[in-house]
Amino acid sequence: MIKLINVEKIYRTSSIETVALNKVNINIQKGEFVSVMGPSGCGKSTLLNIIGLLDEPTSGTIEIADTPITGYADKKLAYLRNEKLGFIFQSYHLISDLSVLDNVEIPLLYRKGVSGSVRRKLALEALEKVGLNSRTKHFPNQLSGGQRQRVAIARAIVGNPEVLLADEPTGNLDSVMGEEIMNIMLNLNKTEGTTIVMVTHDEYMAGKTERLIRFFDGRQVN
Amino acid sequence: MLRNYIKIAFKVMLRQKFFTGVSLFGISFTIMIFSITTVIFDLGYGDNAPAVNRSRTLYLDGISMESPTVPYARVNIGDDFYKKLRDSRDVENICIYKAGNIRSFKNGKVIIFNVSYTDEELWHIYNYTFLEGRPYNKRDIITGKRYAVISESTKKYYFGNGSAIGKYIGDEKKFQIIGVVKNKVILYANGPEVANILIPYSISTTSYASSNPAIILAKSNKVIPDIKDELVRMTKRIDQYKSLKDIRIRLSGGTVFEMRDFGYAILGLSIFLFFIVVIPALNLIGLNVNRISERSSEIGIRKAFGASSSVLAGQFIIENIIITFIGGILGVILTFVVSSALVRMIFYNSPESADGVYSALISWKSVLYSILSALFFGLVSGVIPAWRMSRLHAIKALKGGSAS
Ligand SMILES: Nc1ncnc2c1ncn2[C@@H]1O[C@H](COP(=O)(O)OP(=O)(O)OP(=O)(O)O)[C@@H](O)[C@H]1O
Ligand SMILES: [Mg+2]
Repeated sequence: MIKLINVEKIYRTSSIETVALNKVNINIQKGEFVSVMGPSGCGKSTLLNIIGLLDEPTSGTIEIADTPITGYADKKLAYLRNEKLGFIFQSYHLISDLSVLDNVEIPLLYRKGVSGSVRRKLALEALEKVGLNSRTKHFPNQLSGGQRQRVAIARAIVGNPEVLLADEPTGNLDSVMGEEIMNIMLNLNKTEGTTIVMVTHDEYMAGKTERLIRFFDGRQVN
Repeated sequence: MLRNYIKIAFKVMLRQKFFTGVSLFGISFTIMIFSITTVIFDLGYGDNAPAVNRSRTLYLDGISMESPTVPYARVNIGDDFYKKLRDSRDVENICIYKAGNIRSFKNGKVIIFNVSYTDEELWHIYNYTFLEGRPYNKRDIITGKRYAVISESTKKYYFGNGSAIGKYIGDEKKFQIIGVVKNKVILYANGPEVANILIPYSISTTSYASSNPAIILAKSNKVIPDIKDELVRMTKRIDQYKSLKDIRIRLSGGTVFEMRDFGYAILGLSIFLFFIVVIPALNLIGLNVNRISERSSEIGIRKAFGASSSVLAGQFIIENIIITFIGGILGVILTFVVSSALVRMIFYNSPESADGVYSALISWKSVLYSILSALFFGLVSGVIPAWRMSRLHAIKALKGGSAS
């Protein structure tokens, strides 16, 4: 499902060169729930962004959702992100000007041939899966952190993606909320067979996943 | 897709009420100022019935002379003078007129009307539309008929809605109305077009020689300087000046473009309006750039979930066009309201103001230009930043935006 071969990411600024990913090789099967751990600055977010086609590797080849990524044409990547991938961020990243329902509908907005009523129906279904169908007309700043993250999950899964990428999804939440979010993801993985890659700092959360990849200084260490 | 863009645009506008309000105000205000300025320019310089052919019309108010022996004198220009000038190959036509006023009473109130005493050439140089009746002709003038052609608003004010033909206007010396002409707002004109009442000049009570302006229609605007030279030459040839040495002749009046007070007034007004327009426009551009940068996190989010750069640019452009369009409509409404108020203020003292017959300072051409200019501002202020922002790298956009 996800294949990284000799992937390198080097950030060059005027004064220094940072090797964020150093010849990384990873292979993730369909339906796996993988967690990624490692100290701050070791390249976890960089890895996730490259898998999520939000960033380009400096060198190496990648294959996402069984599609080899050859060129990096904007339209093609936008299409893959829309159809195959779903993102969950640590800081939720909801659009504050839009209601919960409108936020969840965003991925469907960029999909061809999805009518307004279908969008609404799918968004409500996704919100139901995360247990938030009673707050569809609220705006993000009227919700708690845990509720916001559930909206973010609904948005990530509304388009029924094959791969879910979560960068510290429970990082801003207390343990009860974190547990809830974790359970939603575990459930998704089990019932829908969604492939999930989750970055976390929490050993307990990581322990709940099938596989753990440890990172140190841009390298996989296990 | 377009329907989604429009929906998104309305959602964003409703959420960002402050920005939307400021934007709409800026756009509509700009349009209003642009419309009114262009109309004022058009009224001042353009051809508007009845004053058509303005660019080749010379308004001669009078001629004066000066010489070492004769300090200053107004030149008496007589009929013969104009008769001779008419023979010049550069002159197409001349209308001789005199300004004055007559008093009339209505409901015990005294009303003073602007009057022009003119010859029959007026009807050839100007383009009047007769709502009823007819103009006075050469014979009416020769026989000294006490006829009057009145403006539409004067008729309405004085006689109401019925026909005015055959009725009389004036106090002890009455004039019989033979025609009613449509009137227009004309600013800064000096000539019979500002008159409420037109009367054959042969019955003017003031002596004809004492003040003798004329409207001279040149064959083209290029020969106007030649006509002026001819006027100077002709003045020098007048018997009483022939013998004078070092005589200096001054013509007063000119084309509408040359009348200095008018020119400066318009220039001053334009500079003033320019600043009134440009400052909010610049503000608006700044505000727009700012607002789109503030939305960088939104751009990152939308990109992460499948929006391509071109789709995002399209979304921002549609947002901009919608807000400009609504602003445009508000601007046209604002123009109507403000210009009618302005007209009422300017013409407060004329009978026309009483029934508001003067049309508002608005013309569809000027509204069109204004909306086009607003669209231009909207595009410059919205599209360029939208395009730049839409190309933002998703990660950078996400980092740049605040979390919510
Ligand atoms: N845009 C950038 N320009 C330069 N260096 C960068 C950039 N983004 C990340 N880096 C560097 O690359 C390295 C890896 O960053 P990354 O964000 O992937 O770390 P991380 O493992 O996610 O850390 P954390 O746990 O703190 O989120 C860090 O040293 C970081 O400073
Ligand atoms: Mg990180």
